[in-house]
Amino acid sequence: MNTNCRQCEHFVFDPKELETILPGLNIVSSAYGSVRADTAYCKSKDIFLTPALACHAFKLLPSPTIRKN
Amino acid sequence: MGKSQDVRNEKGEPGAVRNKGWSELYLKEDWWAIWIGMGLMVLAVVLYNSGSHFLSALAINPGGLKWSSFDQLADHFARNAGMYFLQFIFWMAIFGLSCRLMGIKLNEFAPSFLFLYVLSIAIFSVAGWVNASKFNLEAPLVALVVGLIISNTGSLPKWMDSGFRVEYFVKLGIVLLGATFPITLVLTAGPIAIMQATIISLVTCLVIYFSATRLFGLDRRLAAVIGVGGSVCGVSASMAIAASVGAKKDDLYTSVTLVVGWALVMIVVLPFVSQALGLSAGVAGAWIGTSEFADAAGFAAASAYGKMAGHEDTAIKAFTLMKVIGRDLWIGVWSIVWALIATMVWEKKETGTAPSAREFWWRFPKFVIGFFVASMLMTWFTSGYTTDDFSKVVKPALIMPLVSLRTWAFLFCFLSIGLTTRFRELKPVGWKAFAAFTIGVAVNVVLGYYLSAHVFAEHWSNL
Repeated sequence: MNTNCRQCEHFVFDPKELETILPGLNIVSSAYGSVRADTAYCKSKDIFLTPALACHAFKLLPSPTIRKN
Repeated sequence: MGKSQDVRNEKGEPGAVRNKGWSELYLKEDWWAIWIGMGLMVLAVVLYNSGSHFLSALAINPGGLKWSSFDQLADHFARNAGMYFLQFIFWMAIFGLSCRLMGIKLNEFAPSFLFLYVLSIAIFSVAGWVNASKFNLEAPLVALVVGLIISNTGSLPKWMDSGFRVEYFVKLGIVLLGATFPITLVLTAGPIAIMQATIISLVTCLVIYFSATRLFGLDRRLAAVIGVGGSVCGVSASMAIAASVGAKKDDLYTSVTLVVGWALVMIVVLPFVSQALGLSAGVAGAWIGTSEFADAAGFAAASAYGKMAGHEDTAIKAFTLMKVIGRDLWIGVWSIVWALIATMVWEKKETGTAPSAREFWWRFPKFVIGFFVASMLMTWFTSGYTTDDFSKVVKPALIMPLVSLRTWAFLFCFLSIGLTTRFRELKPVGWKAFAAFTIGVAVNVVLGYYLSAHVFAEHWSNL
């Protein structure tokens, strides 16, 4: 099975965590909205992205759980 | 480390891993706004058919009291304390449960929402003063100012943001608005709104993008992110496009500061300028719809001016047509367009994978579906009544309770804007980004005024 961003420690997907790393995001927007879709933030590359196949900076999450949508 | 590897696996194969399951239906606030809004509408129809006035009682609101002495106000609360308590339980139950299922901690949400509810009652009470309009004490403006003062001078803990869900409240308000919005109006006025919004969005986005890149030499990703932020749907659009072009955290953070800053300015300035220019509620609503960046901020401005002009409903309807139907629906298209530009015009290896047409649906603001369905169902349900029966029977017993609940949802939203805006937390923005965005704002405001008050003036005035 190909590894992907959802299994990576660098991948910030949780809406609450996204709103924490980007103060002010929740003022007139929200990380819980449909428009965001599955946009997430990669701490390693410092970019916003949608989940993709693992790159060489991939670092497996401590837990084997793959993040839900 | 080259960015070419960002979206490629060890073999160099590009690949997006999109997981679009049914969990969206309970993890996204858009869907919850639909479930709750539609549920309330169905409940209202069932109670109306059974002759019950329970929803009217539950939708109690001190905003329309027109009290002239504190004794009157105190008497109102003394007589209705039980109903306000029941209303609080009702809001807490539906918001608390839905937020919990979205992953928000209930032990943070509950005290925060209690604070929000009590403050909302206080603000409604101020707006219900018989002389409130003389001093421009419109509920949206009071809520914004009070919220800003508390969040910037007080010491509310950050965890309380869990209960100040600006976007969730405004989305529920919009779905409830659909129940009072004839679908015939959407069909007749929608095309012009879409045409005007498309002109404005294209011009503003291009002005910001080219000002940023050509005039000030800013990075094109930052330019794209602030371009859509200023022309489509504020930070939400910026976030959608950030993933399409592979923007950095600072790019989006810059957009947050610019959008929030200008949105707050517009909430206060647009209603008073509209008043000074003597604009009709419809024209002002359309202008605000083209010039505000975010739904929540725009509803605050449109609602405030509607109250000033004595036609709140018309201002809100014009705003909704322009902003929600004219601009918000197209976020997915903008996302695809920018992803195409990023992957096919810019260097492909720098950015994400090629866009899919399904992006339009993935990023579609789903709460708008609730607005349309509510509008169609209520139009169908009320179509059998004569105009006289509708005004005397249906409106007070069925429509007005939904309007009052919508007013509550919007006030929660307006107050939450103020309570979550901590200026000290916003990122300082460079003058070049500020200048590029401001040029776009200027073009947007002037062009929006010209289109609303001249080119399509008759259309919006007769809404």
